[in-house]
Amino acid sequence: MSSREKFDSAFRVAFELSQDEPLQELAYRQHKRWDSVRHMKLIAQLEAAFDIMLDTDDIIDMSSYREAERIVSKHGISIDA
Amino acid sequence: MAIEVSPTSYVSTKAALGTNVKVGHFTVIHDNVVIEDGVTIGDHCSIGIPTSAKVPERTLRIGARSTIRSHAVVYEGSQLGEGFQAGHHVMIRENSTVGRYVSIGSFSDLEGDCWVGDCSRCHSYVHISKGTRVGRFVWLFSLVTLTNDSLPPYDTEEPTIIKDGASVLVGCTVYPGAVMEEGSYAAAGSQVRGVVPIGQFVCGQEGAITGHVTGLIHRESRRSLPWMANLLHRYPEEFHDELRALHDKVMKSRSRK
Repeated sequence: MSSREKFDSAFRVAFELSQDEPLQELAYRQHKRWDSVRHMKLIAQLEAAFDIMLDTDDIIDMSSYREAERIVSKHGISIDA
Repeated sequence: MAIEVSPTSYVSTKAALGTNVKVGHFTVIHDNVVIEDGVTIGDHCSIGIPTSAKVPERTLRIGARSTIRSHAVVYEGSQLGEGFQAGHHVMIRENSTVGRYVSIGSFSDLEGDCWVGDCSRCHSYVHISKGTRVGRFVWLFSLVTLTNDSLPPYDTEEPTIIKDGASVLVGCTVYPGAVMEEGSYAAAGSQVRGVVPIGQFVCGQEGAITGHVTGLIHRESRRSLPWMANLLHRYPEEFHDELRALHDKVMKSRSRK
């Protein structure tokens, strides 16, 4: 599984989204399923998928799909790979 | 300052009252009650009601600077620590031990043989079953029910254990024998069963363990969990080191999968 697939899978599992649901425009509280509990699920999914630990500021700042890409990339992971 | 007891209240001659104690109207202080200095007891309270249960110690001791608000009912044989706060209509059955600076909200009840650690707080309408163990710095929000009988009406007692720093949010039911480890967190309306590991978050009717509390945030205020080191100002300084240690322990429980 590519890093992109793992990244997308984390979002789909956390937010219970189908395979055909677009992810790129997802944003905290702008999508009905991105609430605080599913945000926590997303953090758990991303940390498990990439074997990373996000710090508190990153957890708070993870406000969109694009921002999540940036934050995960800080851990040396290329999402486009 | 002298003791102030309303002329409409009755205080047993076998009760012992410290200095600066105030007792409101229509309250009864029974035998075997020791009330330490600076305690305020509201109107229409019954304090130290005799029990037919076998208890190791009949004395009800109310710690210094406690406040017990109107219509509270407290049986004999319990120890309530310094700075205890009871809301209106609270009931505490016999043989309960309550630590220092504990707050029990209005209409809540402790059903006896309970243990509640220092600085724990419960909001209104909380039911704490017989034999429950509540640690220190625990939060029990409104309408929480801590059950203890796995097969009623057989009295198959399996009290719950809520460990230090755990939070149980509004409307949760914690089932018999459940254990919430340190810093764990039950979302509003959850049904909690089994063991919730340290720092884990549980939610929903199935009581699913969903993730670690560090993933829970309030973005607008940039607040996050665990809360212990962030809310030191709410607790007496003597507890600050313990709160920091508890915070660190919960943080360290977040491990890579």
